[in-house]
Amino acid sequence: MPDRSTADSKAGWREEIRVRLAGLHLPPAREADVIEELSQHLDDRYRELCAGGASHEAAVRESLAELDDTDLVRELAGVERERAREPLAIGSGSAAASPRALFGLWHDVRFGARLLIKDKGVTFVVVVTLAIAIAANTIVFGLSDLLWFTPVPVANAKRLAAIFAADERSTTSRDPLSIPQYRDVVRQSAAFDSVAAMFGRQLSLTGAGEPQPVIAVLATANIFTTLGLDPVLGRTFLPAEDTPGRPNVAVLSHRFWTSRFQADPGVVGRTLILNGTPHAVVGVLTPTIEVGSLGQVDLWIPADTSSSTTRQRDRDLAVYGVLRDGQTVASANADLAAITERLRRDYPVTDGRLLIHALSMRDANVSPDTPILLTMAGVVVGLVLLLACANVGTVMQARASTRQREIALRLALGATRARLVRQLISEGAFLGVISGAVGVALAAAAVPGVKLLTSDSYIQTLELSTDTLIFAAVLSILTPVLFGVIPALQSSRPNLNEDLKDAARVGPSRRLHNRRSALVITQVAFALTVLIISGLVVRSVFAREQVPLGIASADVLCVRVRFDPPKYGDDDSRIRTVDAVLARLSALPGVDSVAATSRVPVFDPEPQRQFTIAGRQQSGSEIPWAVEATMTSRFREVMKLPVLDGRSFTNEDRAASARVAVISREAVRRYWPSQSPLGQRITLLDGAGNPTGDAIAIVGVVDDVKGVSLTEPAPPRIYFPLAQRVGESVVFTVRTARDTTLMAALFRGALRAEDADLALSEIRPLDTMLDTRLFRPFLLVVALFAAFAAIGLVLALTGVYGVAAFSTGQRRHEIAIRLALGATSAEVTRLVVARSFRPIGVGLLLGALGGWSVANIMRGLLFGTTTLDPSIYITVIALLAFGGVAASFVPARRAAASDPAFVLKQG
Amino acid sequence: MQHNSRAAGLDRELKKGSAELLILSLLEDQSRHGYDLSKLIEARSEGVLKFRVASLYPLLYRLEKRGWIQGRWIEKSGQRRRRYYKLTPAGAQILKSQRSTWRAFADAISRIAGIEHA
Repeated sequence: MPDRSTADSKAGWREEIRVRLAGLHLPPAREADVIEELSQHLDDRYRELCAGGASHEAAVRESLAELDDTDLVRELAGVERERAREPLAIGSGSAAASPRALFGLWHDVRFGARLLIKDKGVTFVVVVTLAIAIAANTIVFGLSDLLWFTPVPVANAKRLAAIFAADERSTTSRDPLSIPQYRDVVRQSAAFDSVAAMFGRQLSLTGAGEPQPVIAVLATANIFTTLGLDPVLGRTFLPAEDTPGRPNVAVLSHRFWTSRFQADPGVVGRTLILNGTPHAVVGVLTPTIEVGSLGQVDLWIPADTSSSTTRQRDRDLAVYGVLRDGQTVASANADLAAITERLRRDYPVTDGRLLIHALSMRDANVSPDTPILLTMAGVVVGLVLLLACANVGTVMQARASTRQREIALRLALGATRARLVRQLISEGAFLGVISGAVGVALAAAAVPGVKLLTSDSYIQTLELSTDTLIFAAVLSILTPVLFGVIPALQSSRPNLNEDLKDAARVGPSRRLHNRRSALVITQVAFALTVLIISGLVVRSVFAREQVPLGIASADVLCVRVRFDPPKYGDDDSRIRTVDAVLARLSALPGVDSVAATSRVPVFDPEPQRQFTIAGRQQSGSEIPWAVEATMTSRFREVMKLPVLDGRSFTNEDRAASARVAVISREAVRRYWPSQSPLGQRITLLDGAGNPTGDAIAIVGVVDDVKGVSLTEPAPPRIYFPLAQRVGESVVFTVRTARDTTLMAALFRGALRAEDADLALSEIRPLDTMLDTRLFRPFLLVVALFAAFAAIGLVLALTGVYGVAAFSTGQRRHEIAIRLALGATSAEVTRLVVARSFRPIGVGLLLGALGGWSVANIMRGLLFGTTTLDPSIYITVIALLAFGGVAASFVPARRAAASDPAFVLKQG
Repeated sequence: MQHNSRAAGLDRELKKGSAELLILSLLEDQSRHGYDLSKLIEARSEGVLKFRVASLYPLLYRLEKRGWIQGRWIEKSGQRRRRYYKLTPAGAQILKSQRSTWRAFADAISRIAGIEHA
């Protein structure tokens, strides 16, 4: 009862009110508020009564009567119970959370951001880990987007198909068509609105500065309308401009126009002399087509495809067709299959094993290996992302476990699970968005590096497109789901008793231990899968580099020279010049040997030639064939190509002497398996399959030389003396150990001294040329997979370390007790490491299984290795195992070195 | 006694139905604390309506929980801190709606009562 002398003392009213409200069990802060408010009301009422003349006792009685209502507790109970059901925001000091969902979400994000800023170390680790994984995924998506999803830069891309020839024994190959085959497709196909063809040639350009070789595309007049390409200046070909008798015209590529003519708008109408023939420039082509091999083209010239009346085996033409409305690539292939059937029947010699097929421009622009490679890269970076999420999940769980008691209490006080989950997801989303932004920045920084690793002009156009950025954004929002929602759901699961006990417990519970072990198992398994896949891919690429080519490419310089009419109108003039050039080159200081050939081995396209063997009946698929080339007498010295039997060519093997040939070991194996080929006579077949020319005597056998496809066996080869079969294009080769730049200058000087107008290509080292053609394309693949493997390994070991450190920390009391009871540091270290290794061991087993499963999918990519390559498996398993032991060793040693008394005192 | 208890019950029911309208109306113009509200109601009703602590504060807390009013502790100079309530925009909407309902209800009652008396 309030005392008269302290009538306005709150203590009196408060005590009365507190007694009445005791049964409500209000939260202390709320109770205090209610008591204060009600006591103020009573105090005011008391003063009013006293001011009205009431006595102290009457005023007190009257004031207290305000509380005398059985409704008070019931009404307050109803209101306060509903108020208590309002979910409490974690960390919120006030129970009066805003009812509006957006405000609550914003509050959660702000709260999460504050927590993360407070915990800078953890936030940094999480952001960097996720950012690297997101960057890797973004790069792979960017490459996939460029190579798979970005439309080919021609107007008719969706309706355009590329038409290829193949051999029935190698149905996926993409060979050019011959002119007669192209004409057959044009005449007989019902699937295409128009069909155009083109082929590349090196021509001599004179009359515009220094003579130089130019890469020209000779094409049918409808090539530009078929591909949907427009000029930026002048015009393209007119219809029928490719028929004989029409004026010679040329369309420049945009690149050539810019580099050679400085983008001169007056170039239209200029005359260029190409192989001695004037051509009028009629236009400049759009630059959009300058990707891939078309990026090397200098100019376009109409090609006459009507004059060839005999069937030829020479296949040169890249053919494109615009599908008719309603036609698809599949229906076009059915149409082409019917055409192929007719050709096989009508021309069994040349087309007996022919297959003509069409591919979409998308598929035609990428090599057959690209889809599998990109898929594997996608699998690997996906695993790296999951690994990063598992890693981050470990960190987040460690953080969450320090808040376990707080979360459990709040759940007990009425916070809803949904609100808790929302809070934890908001924190995760905040991290994900920041990581995504950093990841995109890393990916953008990595793009120039990716371009440096490849000479593919298509990949030089790689950029972070809008689609790629959207992908990165989606990934950075989804990753919180992977590492935020699941632990959030687990944290919010109402096993409150356990959680409250756990938090108070000294040492980890079984439940938490199992959870952490699962994380370690997952991380190790993912990392091992990534390492196995990457290891197999890298091994395959390196195995390709170890394949012996059959020639010694180091210390050899090559230059291609054109001997075009009218200056070199016959074989004699060409041979004379070749001999003169060889003599000049041999006289250069530092030159070991010189030779000339029709084609750079392995590098240049390799035409096949059919022939018959005297005294044998062969037909159809039995007709022998070999890759043909010509060479001078010292070619084998330059290339260090061993002669296995008989002799190589001599200077006596001239145009007027008997026809001779040298064949390769593979040709012997196939066609003379049980006898010596020396002295055997063969006759070449022409494009129609008829014998042509004199019989040729086999005089020697040389070792095999690989073809462009290093994974295939070496093809059978046949070599002829250059003097007996000289063409318009000759490659001079020089073996020299001297400085390349110096020798190239001397090389060029010698050629120009012989003929100042000779059109020369760039003088290049042979090993550089082969590296660019055979190995450079794979450099990017090696770099990407090696990077993914390194990231995966670091993430896994970091994760193992993190879990080991945390677990050891949790067990510090147990360790302290062991030490106090006499265990040595070594025994404790062994115990901790052994415990950490159990989940690592399980992870290694699962990872090995996972890696083997994925390897089986990419079996076709592997070369020089198998899906169960023991050296790869043993290496990566040992790497991860030792790494895991080392990662858990450090915290183990730290724990073993701790002072048990100090730890136990800490409690 | 019976008549008094019946009247008290009617009074209680009427008060319950109109209490929210009363509180919201009084807060329309300015913020007030609980005691102020109880005195105003008593004064403007000329003593007909009286709200005690037991009925006033649960009502205030209920209205606050619904978001129709908002309470804040305010300390004015020279005074102890008090909890003042103000009308929220949501509360203003409810007040408007309840006024309209009460007006229609009162008109209906008068028409019925008027017809019977007539």
